Amino acid sequence: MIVAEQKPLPEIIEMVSPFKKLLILGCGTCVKTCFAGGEEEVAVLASILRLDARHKGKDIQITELTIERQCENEFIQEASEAVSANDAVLSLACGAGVQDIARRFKNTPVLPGLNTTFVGVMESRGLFTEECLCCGDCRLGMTGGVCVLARCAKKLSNGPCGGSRNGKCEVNPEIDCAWQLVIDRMTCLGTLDSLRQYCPPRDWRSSNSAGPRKLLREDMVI
Amino acid sequence: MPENYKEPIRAIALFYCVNAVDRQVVKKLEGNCQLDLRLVKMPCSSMVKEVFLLRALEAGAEAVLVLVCPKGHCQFADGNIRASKRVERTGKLLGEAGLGGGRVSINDAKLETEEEILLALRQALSQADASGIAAGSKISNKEYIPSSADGVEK
Ligand code: SF4
Ligand code: SF4
Repeated sequence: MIVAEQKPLPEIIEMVSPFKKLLILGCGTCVKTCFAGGEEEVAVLASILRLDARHKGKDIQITELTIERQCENEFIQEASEAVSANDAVLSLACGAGVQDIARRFKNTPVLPGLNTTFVGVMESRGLFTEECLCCGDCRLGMTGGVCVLARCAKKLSNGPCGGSRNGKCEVNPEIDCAWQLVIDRMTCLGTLDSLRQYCPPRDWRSSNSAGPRKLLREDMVI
Repeated sequence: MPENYKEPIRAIALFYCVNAVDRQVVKKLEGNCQLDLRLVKMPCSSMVKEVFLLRALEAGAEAVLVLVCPKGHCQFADGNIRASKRVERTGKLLGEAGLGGGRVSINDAKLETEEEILLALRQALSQADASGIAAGSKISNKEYIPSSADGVEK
């Protein structure tokens, strides 16, 4: 999922300050799962903004709405009425969601309420970890299902580096050494020998380094 | 101080777990304690959520106090731990927004008498005052109190 966290409140308060009628728009998929942008977070933020406005003697009318996904037109349409009834939208979706809302409602300012941080998983309740950099050339098959690009601090394709201590990374002892995880996993699978195979450098053209990527599925185009 | 000066009545919302304090004792305080007191009873303190506490403030409470079972005594395992994390987070958000992080507090002491509960309420108000935001308004807008919390006192 896309993992995000709410922006600091002073930044949000400053951003929404010119507007009297504000729609706080939640997204019910990734950011709801990471407790950043679902119904509950929309309600909490709305309450804080109302309290702040009252404290400053200002008027603000807040509409709260959460749609299933802010990155899919089918769901975005459900927000049309609420968007037109307000001066601005504070979107609690990832950066893609914010942009999709902005693209579809040309005359309404759309503001980001979250900082989108990474593609990751919920390792345990409340703990999210980055696991994929969306490189466009997935090599998880060669490393026992552990992404060394996202999880090795040195991004080594042929590791380990030799600095790992007690299974932890020498760059940041708080994180697991990705190559240790690879070795453990491949030992478990009985495929450790395959690590002798040299992993050639990546072709980074498939990554975001060559600018924004597009993916076309001809079979889906009507 | 003028002769006819009357101390303002302070508004406070009390969310309490029915397993933590005796409901009859809490009810006796209502209308009987020089406070504008709004009670929200909960079958377990885990039902408390950030938004309920914030809406109590929106409704005009100067402070919100949550009464939970002592550590290790939640009948549903960890309700009081969840409640304390939510109260802490609500305080953090309020503090970050400059709205008085001390306006929400939690108490897990075994409170048995009206006097003990009243003291806890007064302490919660002092803590709210110390955080620098004086709301000073009565709890008046009843619709804001969370009816979905299964426990608004009728
Ligand atoms: S808008 Fe972003 S957060 Fe929401 S569903 Fe789409 S990808 Fe996930
Ligand atoms: S190899 Fe690339 S696509 Fe595969 S998990 Fe790592 S970053 Fe993501």
